[in-house]
Amino acid sequence: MSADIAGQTINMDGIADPTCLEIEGVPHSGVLLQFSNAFMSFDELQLEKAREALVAEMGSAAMVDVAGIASNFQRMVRIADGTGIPVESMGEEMDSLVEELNEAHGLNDYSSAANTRAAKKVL
Amino acid sequence: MSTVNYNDSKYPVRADFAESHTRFWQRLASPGNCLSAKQRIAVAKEVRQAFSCELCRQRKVALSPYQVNGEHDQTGELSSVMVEVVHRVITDSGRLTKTWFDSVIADGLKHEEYVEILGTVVHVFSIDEFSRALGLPLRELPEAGAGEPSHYRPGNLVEDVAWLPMLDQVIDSGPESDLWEGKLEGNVIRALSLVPDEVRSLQDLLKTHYLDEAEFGDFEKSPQGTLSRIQTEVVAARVSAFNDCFY
Repeated sequence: MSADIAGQTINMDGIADPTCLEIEGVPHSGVLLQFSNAFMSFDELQLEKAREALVAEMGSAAMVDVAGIASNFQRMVRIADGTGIPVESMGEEMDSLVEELNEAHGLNDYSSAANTRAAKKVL
Repeated sequence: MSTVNYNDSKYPVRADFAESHTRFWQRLASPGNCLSAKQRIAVAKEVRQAFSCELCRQRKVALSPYQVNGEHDQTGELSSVMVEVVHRVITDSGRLTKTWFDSVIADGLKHEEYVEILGTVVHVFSIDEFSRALGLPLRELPEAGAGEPSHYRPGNLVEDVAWLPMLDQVIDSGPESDLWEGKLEGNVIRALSLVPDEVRSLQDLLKTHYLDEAEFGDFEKSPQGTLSRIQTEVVAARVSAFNDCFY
C-alpha cells in the first residue's frame, strides 16, 4: 500500500512491522527505523549503536530531533489509552482509506481498537 | 532545581527542548488542579518507580493483567489508587479498559484528579524518555513549591466519546478559548481538557518534540528540526506500532 505525502509517493508496507528495516521512498529510513526499534527495545547497547548510526548518516541534530519525536509518541498513546478516546471521523473517503490501512497492518487487533469500535456502535 | 538543561549531552540539543521542559518542570513544582506540588512531584517519582515494579512486570506478561493480584512496589508517597493509575498507564496502557477506569473512580479518584495524574504522568514520561533516547541520565526533579490546588472546573464540558468529560470540540469564547482558537479539535488534544492546563502543557511540549498541533493535518508541514515530515511520521508510526497504538 502506498500513500501520497508532501508530493511523494511512499510505500507504507511494513511501517508497523518491526522486522521491516527500510521504507522505500523515504531517505534514511533504515537508520530511523533502527533507532525506533532500539528505543522501544529498552536495550541500551542497541540504542547506543542506533544513535551512532543515525549521527553518522544524518548528523547529530537529526538524532536529537528523532529522540524528540520518539519520546513524544511514548506520550500520545498513553493519553489515548488512558481516556478511551476513539479515532475521530475524517470523512467517508478518508475513513475508508484508514480502515484499509488498519486492516492491512493488523491495527484492528490492538486492544485499544475497541474504543473506536464502541464509539461507532453508539453513533 | 526547576531548570532543565542538556549541557551534559555530547550532541548539541536544540534550546527549545530545555526551554519547554523547564516550563513543564516549573509547572510540576507548583500546585495543580487537585494535587499539591508535593503530590505532583510524587507522581513524577512514581513514573520512575513503575519500571522496577514486580507486580507490573508480572501483569505485563500475563494473558490478562487482571489475573495477577498483589501490591505495587511504590515510593509510598501516593494513595494506592493513584499508584495503580500511574503504574498501569506507564507499563501496560494498551490494555486499559472502561471497566478499569470505572474501578479507579469507584476507589475514590475524582475525574479531575485522574486527568491531572494522567497529564503529569505522560508529560514527565516524555521528558524522561527524551533523556533516555539521548543516552543521558534522567533530569533531577524540581523541589515542590507552596500553595493550594485551584480546583478549577471549566465550562463547555461535554460527555461524548471519552471515558470522562472533555471540553467541546469548538470553543468560541471564555477562559479556554486559547486552547483551540475556535476551530474543531481532535480527540487526543481534547482528552485532557477537563484540566485545561494539562492541554496547555501538552501543546507546549508537542511544539518542541513534534509539531505545532495546528499543523497535524497538514502533511506539507515539516517539523522545525532537520527531518522531513515523512521521516518524522516514519519514527512516529514505528514507535506507536510498538505501543499497539490504534489511535
